[in-house]
Amino acid sequence: MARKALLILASASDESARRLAALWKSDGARLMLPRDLSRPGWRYQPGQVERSVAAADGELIPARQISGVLTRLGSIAEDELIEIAPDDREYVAREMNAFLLAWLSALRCPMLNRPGSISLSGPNWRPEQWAHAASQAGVPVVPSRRRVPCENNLSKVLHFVPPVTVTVVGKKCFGTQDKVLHDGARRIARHANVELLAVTFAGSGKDARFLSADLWPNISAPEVAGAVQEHLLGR
Amino acid sequence: MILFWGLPGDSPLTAVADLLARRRVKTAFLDQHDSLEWSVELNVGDAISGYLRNESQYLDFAEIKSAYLRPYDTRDLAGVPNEGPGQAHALGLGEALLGWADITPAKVVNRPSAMTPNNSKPYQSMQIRALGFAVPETLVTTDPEAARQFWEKHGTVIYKSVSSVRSIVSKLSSKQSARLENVKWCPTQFQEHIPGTDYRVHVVGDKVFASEIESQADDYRYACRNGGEAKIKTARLPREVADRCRRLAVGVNLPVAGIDLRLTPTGEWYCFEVNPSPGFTYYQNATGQPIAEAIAQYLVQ
Repeated sequence: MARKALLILASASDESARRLAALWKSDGARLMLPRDLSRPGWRYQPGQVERSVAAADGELIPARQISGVLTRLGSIAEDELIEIAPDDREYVAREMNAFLLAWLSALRCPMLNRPGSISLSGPNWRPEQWAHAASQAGVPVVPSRRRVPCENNLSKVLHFVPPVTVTVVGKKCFGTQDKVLHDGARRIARHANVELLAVTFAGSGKDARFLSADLWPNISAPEVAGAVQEHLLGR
Repeated sequence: MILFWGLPGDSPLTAVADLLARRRVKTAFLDQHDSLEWSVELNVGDAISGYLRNESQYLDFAEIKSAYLRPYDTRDLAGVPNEGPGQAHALGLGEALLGWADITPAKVVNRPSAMTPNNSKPYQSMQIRALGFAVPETLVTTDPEAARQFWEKHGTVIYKSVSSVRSIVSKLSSKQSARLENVKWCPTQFQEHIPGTDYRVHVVGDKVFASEIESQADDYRYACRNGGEAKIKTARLPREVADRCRRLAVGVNLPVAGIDLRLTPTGEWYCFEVNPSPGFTYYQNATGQPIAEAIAQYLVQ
């Protein structure tokens, strides 16, 4: 039976991703870097994703061997494409992003997070859209205010309550034992159609109000990394 | 009030704005060239509130009942500094308006989040297929041998950008055979060539306007460059195809959409793309179809 691969799509400078790849090596973890999109061997026919082939970590990996994907970037930045002629980098980065968006969206394996329509991981909403989503999900919100021109271009209404962050990984929550915050964070994640999300609240319990959301939380804490690994392996 | 955002030289935007102005419908035109003269405040909590303001106008977001947005990339605009506080102001104004446009209860043509799938053609083609149209067999690859095999299988293939970067759709010819080696540097999109007649269908709400394009060019939009021409005339779609276009526009959340179809000699309808910000005046000028009028009505209703 072919060895399974757990892909970690990340920037070349993402040290956390490297550590996770080393930690999960026995589960077939492979780092997929932006420069891997400039390796021969990629094949994808829309409608036949199960027959597609990816290139990562010096290997060609058939899609049917991919057990899960952790995406640690929203898009490929042109300055990562140092092997591409400088004048072509912007175009090549856009083409790579468009390709990855389609391919990742088509893959059926567990993924944190699945792409949105513009980002390789999640919906890439503006702070106002997160606040709106939280409100729509029934979570009280600290109003988001954007003023232009303003030195403090994007700000929240001042608050003096210590923030609490809940990290959602699938059905699990980390960072606090507060069940009200767990429930609110899960509802916001569901509304955003994501399974990995850090949600920060002002206050706790029934007085808690949504402050911000982060699609790329720190997942280096052992219990969070373990939950991410379990999720990606479908356990 | 109806908000227009873009450039005054933009013909689709101007066509609709002029129609409504002549009817004395209350409108406001936010000219992107004047971005530095506008300030904005957007508040989002349990409700959405805020305003746009310049020296002579105050636009309360709550008063905006509909909006037609065709903004250009702020960084490409003459008059907007390419660095510093001026650029930050213009970009910030754009961010606020795009953020508002995605969450406002006002009618928006079209919401920014609904326009983004067009940035990836293979991603959008999967949406199109799921909503009932045939799409050409496609390969995206960095493997020159896979590209050659795909070419051999289909006999005639075209290549075009994967992203929304505008590219001329071209047939692959023996002249480009050696250049196939270059695909290993960047995922490149190849598509089986579908013979037939091109149609551009504009859907505006539940109205459908179809144009038939007669051209020998691989990409009729650039026919003139190669000494060719594109003749455009009003067409009548079979009812079932028109209904499929309506369902497609609704399915991708675009109340105004430009749908590119091709009818094969065997009677099959293929869909290549859904343009979320169609330059409809090109077709309206050729056919006399009242597309601007339909958009104006949609915004007012």
